[in-house]
Amino acid sequence: MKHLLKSDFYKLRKARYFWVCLVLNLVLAAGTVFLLDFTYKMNGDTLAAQMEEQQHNMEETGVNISMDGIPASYEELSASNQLISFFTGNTTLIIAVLISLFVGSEFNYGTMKNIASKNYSRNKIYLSKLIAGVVTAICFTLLFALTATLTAAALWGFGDVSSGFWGEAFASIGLELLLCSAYVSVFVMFSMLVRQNGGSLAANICFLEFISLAVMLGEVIIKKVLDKTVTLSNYLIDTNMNAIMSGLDKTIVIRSLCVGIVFFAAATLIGMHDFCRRDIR
Amino acid sequence: MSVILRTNHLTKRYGHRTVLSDLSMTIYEGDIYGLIGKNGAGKTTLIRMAAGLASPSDGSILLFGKPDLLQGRKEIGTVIESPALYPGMTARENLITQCKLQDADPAQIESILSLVGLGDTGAKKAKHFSLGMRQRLAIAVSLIGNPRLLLLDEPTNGLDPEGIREIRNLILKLNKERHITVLISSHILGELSKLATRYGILHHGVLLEEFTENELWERCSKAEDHDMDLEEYFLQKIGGN
Repeated sequence: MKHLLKSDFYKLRKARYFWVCLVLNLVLAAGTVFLLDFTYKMNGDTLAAQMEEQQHNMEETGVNISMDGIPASYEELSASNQLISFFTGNTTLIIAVLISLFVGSEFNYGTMKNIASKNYSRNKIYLSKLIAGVVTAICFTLLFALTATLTAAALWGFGDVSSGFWGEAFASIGLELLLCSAYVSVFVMFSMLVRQNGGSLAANICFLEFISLAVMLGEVIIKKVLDKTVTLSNYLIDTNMNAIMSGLDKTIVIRSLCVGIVFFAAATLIGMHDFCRRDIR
Repeated sequence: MSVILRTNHLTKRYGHRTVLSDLSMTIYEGDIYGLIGKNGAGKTTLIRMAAGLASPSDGSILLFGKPDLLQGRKEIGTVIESPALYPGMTARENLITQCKLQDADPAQIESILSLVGLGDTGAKKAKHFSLGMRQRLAIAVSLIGNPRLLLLDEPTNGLDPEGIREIRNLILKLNKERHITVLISSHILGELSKLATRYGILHHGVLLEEFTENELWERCSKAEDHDMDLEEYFLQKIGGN
């Protein structure tokens, strides 16, 4: 499988879309910090009140979103207090595009035939794509965070950190990267199921954009109809990514671990089963 | 002569449709085996199954005398339907990718590119190649790792007469100089008759007949129409079935 991975990483390195996505990733990282800086400068001290009102309105309709950990004024901004947010789902759209093209193009170009007709089992071929995707996603996320942190430190300074900061930061980063890997697993699954650039791009973007919406809609309907508050969205990847930003406690850690592992494993098993079973045209 | 590929009662069904039915055939070392049949006869399906891209519904395939197809596929090269290349890469880079996949020595790349007549393509990307050049590059990719068997599915589709001649000469060269056994399917029976040493006629998923080049000429010369060639013989065969 070492050779499958070597071949996959070589293909990524030579693909134009990889470099385009990388540059976009870095531009987005710096741009996110500048946008945050601009937003806080414009809104000044009214931001805290606005956020509280927004959270209250959402809770009334049954949608549960926490605003904990979000700075309430420009003075509270620092690179250290934004560090975890730089790992939180900022790269998922770019990674969805990258994985769709990386996996889908093997079918579009017909080159999957060259791979599958060699002495590698379908499981190994799938795992190679998955591992290459996960490694690339982790690199993209780390590069995003590094660029954003450097930009934030230049604008606001790094800020003071407590003695336990780095321990918690690394734990949070580890969990965020696990959840990012879970996303990659889902993207690879859809790409292998659809077997086409455009189709897998559509499927992955729809998953990213609409799964939270669908679940939130479900929560709203249950609240209206049954007058019960259920938080299905707690078991989505992006919700857990955001929850980690507010600070780690036992519940968030266990839930994030479970969500990350379950999504990763389930998507891998479904995708692998389908890839092994279906003929390659 | 050792057996390179053997199928035993090979059957492939898609739902209720039987594409290949009880197919038993043998390809010997050194053969250029011409697989003949109309569109939809099952030629591509057979080649895809031998390459591991489709699984049989019934029956078995032996590669190099062994049922372990995963190991056997280490020694095969394939060009199935259209050339499968990375369009954004040069010829050299396409072969490097294949070398990395197969843990093959990249030193063979230059000789393979010269062999297929693409030694001077330089930095030109595969997307800018003509169809003939893409076919030759696809054959070059299939030659990485020194295969003993090449599976070529309609390798001359869409080529002009000069392109067809180039591919024919290349296949003959590979067979004679590198002792590579070839399974080739084609519609262009005139071309196939200049290449193949053994034939199999496939019709509606059934192998009607297998015969050698010599047997074909014997049958054609004994026919009432002494001008009978492979094409006439094939049409007569499927006409009766």
